[in-house]
Amino acid sequence: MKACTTEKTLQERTRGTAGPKILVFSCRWCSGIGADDAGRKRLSMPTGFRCVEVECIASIDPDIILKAFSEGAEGVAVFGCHLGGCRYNRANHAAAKRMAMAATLLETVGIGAGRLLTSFGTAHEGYQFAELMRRFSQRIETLPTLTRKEARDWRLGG
Amino acid sequence: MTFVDTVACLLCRCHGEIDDVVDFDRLQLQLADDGRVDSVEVCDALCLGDSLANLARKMGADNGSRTLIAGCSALARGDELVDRLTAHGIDPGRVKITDIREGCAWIHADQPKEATSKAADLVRMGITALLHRQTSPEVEIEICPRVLVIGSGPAGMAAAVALGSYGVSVVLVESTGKLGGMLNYLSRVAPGDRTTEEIQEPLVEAIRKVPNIQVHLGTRVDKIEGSAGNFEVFLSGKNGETRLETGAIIVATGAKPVLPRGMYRYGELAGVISGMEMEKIFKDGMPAGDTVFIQCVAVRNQARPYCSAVCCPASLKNAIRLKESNNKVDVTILHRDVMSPGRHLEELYRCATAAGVGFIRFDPDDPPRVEGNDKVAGVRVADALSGQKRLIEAERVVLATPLEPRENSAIPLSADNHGFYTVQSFLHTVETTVPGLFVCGSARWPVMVDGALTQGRAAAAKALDLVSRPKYRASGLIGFQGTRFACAQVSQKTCTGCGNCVAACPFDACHLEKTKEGLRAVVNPVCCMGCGSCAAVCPNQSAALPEMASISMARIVENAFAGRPLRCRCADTQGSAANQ
Amino acid sequence: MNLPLQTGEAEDSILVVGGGVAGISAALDLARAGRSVHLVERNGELGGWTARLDKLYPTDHCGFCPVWSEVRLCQRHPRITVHTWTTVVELESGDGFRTAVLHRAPNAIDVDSCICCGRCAQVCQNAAVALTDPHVYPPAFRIDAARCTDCGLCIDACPTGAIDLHRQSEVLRTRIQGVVWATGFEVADLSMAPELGAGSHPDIMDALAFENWIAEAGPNQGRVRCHDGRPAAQVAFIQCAGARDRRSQPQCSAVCCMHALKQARWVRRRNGDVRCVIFYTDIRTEGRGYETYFRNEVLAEGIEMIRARPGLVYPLPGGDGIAVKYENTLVQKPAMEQFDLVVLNGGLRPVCPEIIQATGVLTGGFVEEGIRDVLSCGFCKAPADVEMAAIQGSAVAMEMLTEVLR
Repeated sequence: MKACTTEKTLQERTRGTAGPKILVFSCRWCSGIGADDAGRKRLSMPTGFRCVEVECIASIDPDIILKAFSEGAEGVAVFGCHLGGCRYNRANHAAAKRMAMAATLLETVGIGAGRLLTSFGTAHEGYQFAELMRRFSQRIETLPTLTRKEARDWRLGG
Repeated sequence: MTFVDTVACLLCRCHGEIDDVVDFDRLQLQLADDGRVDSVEVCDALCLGDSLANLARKMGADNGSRTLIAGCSALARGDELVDRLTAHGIDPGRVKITDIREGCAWIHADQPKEATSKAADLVRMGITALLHRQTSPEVEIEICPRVLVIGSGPAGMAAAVALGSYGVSVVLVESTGKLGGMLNYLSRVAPGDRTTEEIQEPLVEAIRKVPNIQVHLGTRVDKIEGSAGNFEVFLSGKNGETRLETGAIIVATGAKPVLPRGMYRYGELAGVISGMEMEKIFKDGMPAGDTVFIQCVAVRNQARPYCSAVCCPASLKNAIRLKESNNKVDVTILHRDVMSPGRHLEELYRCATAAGVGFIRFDPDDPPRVEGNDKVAGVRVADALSGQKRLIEAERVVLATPLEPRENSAIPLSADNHGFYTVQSFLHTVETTVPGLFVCGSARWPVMVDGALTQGRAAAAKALDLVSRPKYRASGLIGFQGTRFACAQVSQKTCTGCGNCVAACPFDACHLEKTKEGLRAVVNPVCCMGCGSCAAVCPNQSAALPEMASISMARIVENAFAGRPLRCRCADTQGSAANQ
Repeated sequence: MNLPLQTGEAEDSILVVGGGVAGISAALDLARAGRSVHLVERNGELGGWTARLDKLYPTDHCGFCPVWSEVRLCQRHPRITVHTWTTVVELESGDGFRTAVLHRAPNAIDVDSCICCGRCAQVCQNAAVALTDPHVYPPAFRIDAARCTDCGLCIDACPTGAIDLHRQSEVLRTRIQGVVWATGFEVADLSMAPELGAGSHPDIMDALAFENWIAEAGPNQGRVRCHDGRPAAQVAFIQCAGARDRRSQPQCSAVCCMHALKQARWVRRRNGDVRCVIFYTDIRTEGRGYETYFRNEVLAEGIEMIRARPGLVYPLPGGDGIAVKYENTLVQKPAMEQFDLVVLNGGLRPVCPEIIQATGVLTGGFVEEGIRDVLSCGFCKAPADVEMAAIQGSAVAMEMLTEVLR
């Protein structure tokens, strides 16, 4: 197997390819329903993201975020319900703080805080979800590739 | 659920909506390679025709098997499919819905190759989740068939009477020597000109008559322990100390009127009185003399940034009575906004205007000044609407002060920034974050008598649901979705007693217990809502949601970008600079 | 403890009319207590106005999510039968009970068979088919009978046979033991207050139309624009428009102060340069968290509050916006200002179909209580916000259980 030694340019990566690998953790309430609404409206989005639905984003810890990066993710997005609207008694407030801490952690280990997106949405915000995914994908693409040899072998098919 | 290491996959074409984009042939090939998949089937539309019944039959025959259904999203039809399978007797834990329509085919229609890869990844993630899923043990609690109502104001009495007359065993506890709460201090009840007797007497009578309502006057609650279905309440009163077991508790402890100490020369000048003192004067007879009411005293300011809702209606009510008893008397209400929302209160406002009550709006930055030497002579006010400063002569100035929360350390409820008990948000507004504990009346938020009666009955309805059956599934207490997703479990073997989960739990469902091995965290299944906060903060994964433990999440993430079995992509591109 | 009707079927159901939060609360509490409930809703989905609102005050959360949970509980509950597209046409008195005659006029597209593929909409030449709004659960496509020409192209396109353009309406008769009216509110006719200019220009909207206009999921995706597409630079909110007004609705609608505050706040949050002015008489912030919402979330966003009841609202010639003439009562000066959008907030009236009048319990259009087995809750009884409506629904369920059914 020939080793892939060059970095593809931004253009080459976006043209007809999957877009950067992004792992999305979303709660199955408002933010999940918002994503679902985007789907029902058939809003076009980059294909590189995968969604993991959790009950509440309060269950997301920095460990799993680091795990995502070690498994090849180039970005991680955490979507919860609006800060006034968590049905688990404001557990999303704790999650917001935890994600801020995780961002600092990512900065410290050299992955970069810009690769973690934390956002709060509502069930009606389908357009906003789609726009956010597009912009986050674009942002990740402008960042240098996370150096990991194996990651190249795992690149999504073009 | 029995442990399995393979699952069946069912791919739904959704009549082409999915397989027009996602290449099902390719997907099936990939899944065939996956050692965790024992069969892959395709159907046209699982939600229609016989497909679901067939699936139910198949799963019914093979009792341990689990099925991954890849099709539309949970909100579209997925939840409905699970419900229907459950109705066929299939344990819903054996099924997982993976969305490859709203989450894949429909948003990547212009990129079928990537969509197929993504669908494969999503299905693999779903398989992983399904294989690792365990079931939270279900706990059935025995319910003590009794409701404790704390406080006998209109809210408490309404709750007690509603429950008692339905047949529920009720204990009504009142800290003073008399039933009625605020009703004992009001002269009349607005809107309308109702006497407190016409409201209080039927309730007191019903309480007296209904045999299953027990009243303890002069009794306080000292401590509440336990959880929904089995609270242990420690009371003390003239009969000494008692212990009571109860299934549900309705907190109707009301709120207390603020005394306007130091405001508008209260306590310094004769004739300056509080709103409650005005009520007393009315109860004793019909007051005479020109009167000025000043609204928003000691409230809607930095210290108390809320509106107490009841003070404008009270002043309107009293102003009308003053004018109706003697039209020659001058009655003026000085206000910042007239809080008379809705239908009946707005009508009260109109009545007051029609009766000749004067209304003057003032700016909180330029409040009225009470004038007089040893008794009230009048009030000087800058009329915000006419711009003029006026002196209104009066013999009496009534300061409308707010209700403020009572502090009660015995009630294990959290309060909002103003000190009133918080409720579960959304549509469960007499239910608190503690299952089995309900709150109504002014303890919840300042409310008029009618509102308190309504809230009391609403709390009764909620409490009734809890105590009306001898056993209750703990996961069903959650309310807002019928059952919860999971109940947190803490492994007693690995828990180090650090207490992180205790602090993190938004519902105080976790606490530390002393065991032979040391402190261990224990989750109360009655209070756990399944959010997973504890799992996130546990340093060694001792706390977990069985349906989605962190090991499951880690495995799911490992499957997220697996793609298809790959060679290096560069080999596919001919003559590319990458081939070096 | 000896409670009635703990398990099993009740012979006589309770009829709950209205599928908004009040009706849903009443239905669930009645069903949990063991009674059968027929929950009747004239539209095609449960949730009422709450689910439709883009944001709720004072949490700024959308209405859908919490309502959706309750709606699902209603749909799954074995003792609740949900009837959408249904109205009550008759309540026949009987011997200690009534018979409710319900009329169901379902949409041409059967919601149970619709897979949301949208092929019908693609072939329709008259824009008569569309996906339901995000607040509708379950999602489906719907045909607007007013625009449908009966060409039948959609029927051929539909892969599941969900469409029947001549779908028959049905009549259902059911014995009931009590009625709960929870029919809520609708936008009132503002023609009795012609100075407000309602209907004279598309940029003069009632508050609920404006809610949709600026909704995240609405036609402008959260941006604030005029109907001709240009961005709006100033928005006026006129409170008590058609309320506290003897010509139309004499009562205060209770929800509009907070509603306007919320809308103005969100206009500013999404479009920081837009000037928002609220013309008010009183700002009623009596509920939990309302006053702090007003101070911290609204005034802090730079929204202008002018105490005035505008005397004239009219479109300026040449597409130059809308003129609002008013006297600022706090400075006693008359003024005229130009706005791009004007939101008329206030005119809400209770929904009161004729059948309610047959039970004889109306006062000023509101459904009071008078007859023993007929109760009411929510806005149709008296103006109420979401919290109050939900509480009243539960309270009415308890009243029904204790007073009516014993």
